[in-house]
Amino acid sequence: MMKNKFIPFLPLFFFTILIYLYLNYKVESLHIIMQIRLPRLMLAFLVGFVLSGVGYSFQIMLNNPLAEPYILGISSGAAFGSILASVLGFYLFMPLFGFIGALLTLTIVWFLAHLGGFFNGTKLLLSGIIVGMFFSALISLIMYFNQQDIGNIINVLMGNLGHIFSRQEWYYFLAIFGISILLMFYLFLLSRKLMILTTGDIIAGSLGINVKKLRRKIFIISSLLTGITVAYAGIIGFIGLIVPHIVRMISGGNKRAGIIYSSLYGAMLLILCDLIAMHITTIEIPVGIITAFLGCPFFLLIMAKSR
Amino acid sequence: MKKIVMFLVFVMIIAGCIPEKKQTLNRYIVTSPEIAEIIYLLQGAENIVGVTIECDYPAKLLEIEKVGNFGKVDFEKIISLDPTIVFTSGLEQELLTSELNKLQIPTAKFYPESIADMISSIREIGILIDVEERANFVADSLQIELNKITQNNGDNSPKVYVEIYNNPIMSVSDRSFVGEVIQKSGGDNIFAELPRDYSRVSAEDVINADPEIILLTCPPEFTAESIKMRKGWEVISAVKNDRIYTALDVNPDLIIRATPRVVDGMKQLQKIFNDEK
Repeated sequence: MMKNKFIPFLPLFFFTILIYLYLNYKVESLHIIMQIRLPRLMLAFLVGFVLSGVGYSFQIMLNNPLAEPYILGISSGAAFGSILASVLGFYLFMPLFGFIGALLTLTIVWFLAHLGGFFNGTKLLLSGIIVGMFFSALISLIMYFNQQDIGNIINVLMGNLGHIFSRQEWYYFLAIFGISILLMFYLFLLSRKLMILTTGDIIAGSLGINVKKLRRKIFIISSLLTGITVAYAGIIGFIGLIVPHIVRMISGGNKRAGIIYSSLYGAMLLILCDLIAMHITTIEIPVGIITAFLGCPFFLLIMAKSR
Repeated sequence: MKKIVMFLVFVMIIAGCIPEKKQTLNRYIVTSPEIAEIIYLLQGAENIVGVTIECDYPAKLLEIEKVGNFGKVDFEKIISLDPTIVFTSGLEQELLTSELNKLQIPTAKFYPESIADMISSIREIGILIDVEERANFVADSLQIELNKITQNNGDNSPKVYVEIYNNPIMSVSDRSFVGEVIQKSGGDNIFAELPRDYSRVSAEDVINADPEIILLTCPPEFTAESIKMRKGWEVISAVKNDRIYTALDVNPDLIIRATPRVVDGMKQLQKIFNDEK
């Protein structure tokens, strides 16, 4: 029943991808399509896919409609890593440093969330926000003292899907792409248990679910995936927040398959946003600005409705 | 009585702390590396009392007191140096100029955006700092040198891609200073028209334009090797023929800064451009 509501969007999805690849097509530009546009398309797909899927599961796990992949501070940690790499001159290692930054943040946040001896959702949120703020402050500090690197820093903070891959790096990216999709699939398998978690920890526990372990798994997988996206594309806001809500509005409430739809439509929306970002003005504008323009009115809509 | 003596001693100590006015008549603070170079060339460093940390050429300027960096200066320091003129530049320094004017500190703004602009700036600075004759001489000989360089240009100008920033990749238009330098040294900039003088460009457009020469003015960590490794860039002529020039081949300061040294930069560029493959 649910599927029927989503099928009309599929042709739109393929149409967007075709435009993305073949806009201004000339016969000799096959090389460009394969070497420049396809990698960018794959990056946009991965980022939208991951952020929206993770956003969906976070909103359920934390039982908070404003939860999104960046809420636990992972984005700031990863961004700090990338920016640090760029000001130190290791331009080619920006994704690696970003990923290490995400891992570091993940560890700190997880540790802080268990400070009282047991896990607590509110504590997780709070420690995520605090750690995120701390890394934001570090980013501001770096920015202030390294104004010659401001272009790089803006790229990380506003999102940029135009990452120029070196040939070697591209094979790593393909591997990461595959692993990420597999991890997302695992997240989907976990979502059945996650749905039961919405009824409360005690009920879920009485049904034989190891609540603590489930939370840990989802938290770690989601953070790794988010870290990967920030490492390659910077911080692209709102996608992970609005797409799960759109899917929920269409399908009516949380559904198990929601995470798959959320991922797919997140990928589609981000590809569309990137297409707009590349072509709306003569100079490409950061894609995070477009998603924010689409996201803010939507955010208000959610707020007005949920009153 | 004791109290009065104490008071007098105190007053004398205070009075001793007030520094004497330094005797130099002209005290210049220069916040732009380009203008600092020009003033040094015309008059030496004797009247320059403050510079920013970007003013690194000639090396003599490094010894002078720093008042901040290009984007941010310490106003207290500027006031304490008691300048007769503060030489400022454009861009971030527009704001600086107006703030200094609010403090009633005399400023002179020079932001040469073309070679002709630079030459006329040299003459104007000459008048301001009272070395008009020398300034006119420098300006005239510069003009002669430049004319000579343009005459030596080869018949066919190679297509050039200049990368001034690497992430996102940015290039220059013909209206920018660097663009004009490229053009006058016999190169054909692939991004003649851009929405801004210094602007973000797309990798796609670079590949489509197929430049014969790639010139990197970004920091030397960015090597020719890293350009060759870029995915999809292997079809570009400059990459195929190994004609990528980095900051190690041409000192970026020679072509980015609007100073008389640009003549050296143009000669180096011309050698690269005239060199047949």
